[in-house]
Amino acid sequence: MRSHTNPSLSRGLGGLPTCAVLAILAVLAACASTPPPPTAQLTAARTAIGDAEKADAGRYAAPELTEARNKLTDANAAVGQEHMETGGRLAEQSRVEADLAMSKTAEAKAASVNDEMLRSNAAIVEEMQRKAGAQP
Amino acid sequence: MNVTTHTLPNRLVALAVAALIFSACATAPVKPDGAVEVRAKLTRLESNPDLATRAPDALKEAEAAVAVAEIPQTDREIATSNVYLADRKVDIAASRAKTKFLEDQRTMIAQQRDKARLDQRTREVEIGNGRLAVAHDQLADKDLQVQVARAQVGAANASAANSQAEAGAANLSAANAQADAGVARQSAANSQAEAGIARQSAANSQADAGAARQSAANFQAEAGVARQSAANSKAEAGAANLSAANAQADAGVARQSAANSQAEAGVARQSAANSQAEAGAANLTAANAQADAGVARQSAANSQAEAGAANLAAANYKASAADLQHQLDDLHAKPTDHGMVITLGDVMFGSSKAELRTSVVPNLDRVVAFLTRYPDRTVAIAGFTDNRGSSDYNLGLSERRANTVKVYLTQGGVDPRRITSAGMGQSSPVADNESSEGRQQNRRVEVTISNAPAASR
Repeated sequence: MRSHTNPSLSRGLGGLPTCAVLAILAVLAACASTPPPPTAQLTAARTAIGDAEKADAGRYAAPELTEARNKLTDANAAVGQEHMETGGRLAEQSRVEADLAMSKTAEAKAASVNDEMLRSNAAIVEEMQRKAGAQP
Repeated sequence: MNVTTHTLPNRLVALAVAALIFSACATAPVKPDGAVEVRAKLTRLESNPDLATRAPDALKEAEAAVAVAEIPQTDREIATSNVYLADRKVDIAASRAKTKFLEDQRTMIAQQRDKARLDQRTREVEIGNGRLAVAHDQLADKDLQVQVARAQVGAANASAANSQAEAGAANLSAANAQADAGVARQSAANSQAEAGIARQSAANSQADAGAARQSAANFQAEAGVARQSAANSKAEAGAANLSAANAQADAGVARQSAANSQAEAGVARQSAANSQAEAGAANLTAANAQADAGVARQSAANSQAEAGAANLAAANYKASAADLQHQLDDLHAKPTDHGMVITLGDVMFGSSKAELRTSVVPNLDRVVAFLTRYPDRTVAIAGFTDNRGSSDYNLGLSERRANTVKVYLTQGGVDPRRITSAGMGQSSPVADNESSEGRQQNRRVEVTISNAPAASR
């Protein structure tokens, strides 16, 4: 008698049972929903690339800067095809690559300052030795 | 029963759907490719003693990312992305650690630089002391030359005494001529000739004294010339001695000829009266010769006085050399081929400013005092800047700074024709432009005081 009191609930959707309907809905929610575009990651990647360009990474870490730009282009393309999670991951990779370009630039600058100082020291010593030779 | 026969096929359908869903969404977990390599790279970084502790924050982030990368993922794309991120974060940690390592090395390099500069300054002081010693040696040389000049004056005195003795000989010869009337005319002529020779010799003595005076003046300028002129004086004194000896020999010849003439007394007797008058004249000539000898003595005394003056001039030169050294020491002047270079205070100008700071005014006043004391020196002013701003702007700024110093020196009373000024811009830094301390040192004005012209010494 209980099954006859509400027949539309147990066999309402094409004759499938209730648990199957719920499972399909859950799967659709998990696998097939369209998440929002990864705006924050894209902005972070653009900012990091801009910072690296300002620090002259194009001169000191050109390969890393180029890869960061390529990753950002890929991320934008993925978002355009509504592959939001792939786009978010590519944007994150772009940001980290730009951070690496920044670090390499700082390292190269520090190395060139040290080289310059060492050259200057050598020049002082050489000048002193030349003076000592000229007026013993 | 009816219910159960309907529910069994339904449950089978539900199970099949669920299995389909799991096979679509949840394939078997994928072991992340490359996670092992990233872990190895991180371990290498952590075991490098130079880098392990230098970027702790970045290293912590890299460790977290590697841990995430090692988690097995069902989705290959997520796994690859995690490994990629971990790899780059390890690279970032390594790069930051290297940067910090380079910065730490810089302290050591700066210490080496300071030591090199100290050595350089010490070396310059040693060179300065060496020059002072050379100056002392030159003074000692000049003292020796003064003593030589004194000896020459003594020789001139002796030569004057000889002249007096020769004048006495001429007197005697004149007396002989008076006694012997017959030969008197001849003998008087001879006496006159001898007196002339004596006068010549006195004149030579005077010339010797003049040469000594000349040499006393010359050796202050040039030691070699002084010695040469002293040698010349000595040679001339020897010549004067020789001519005095010749005069004595001539007097002997005259006496001989007077003895010969005695035999011919008869011939001369008629002119005896005339001869007596001429003998009087010869007496007068002898007196003149005596007076000439006195003049020669006076000139020898003058030579001695001049030698004293030369001594005094040498002492003044010594004092002025010490004064010069003292003034240069006060200015921390640095000797170069072009002259003494004075770098006016590292803190003389602010950034982009051409006005003088009050801290450099005492140094500039010393430069003014120095230039007033030594009016034969000229001065070249060169302005320099750091590398902030465009090179055109810096060139103009350095010109304005050099001109500021020129105007200050001119207001202090230095003739503007003795000053040249030029701007050199940022082209010749003396220190590293990366630090503010280095840039401060590069903002400077160098004042080069010309070496003393050779003619003024």
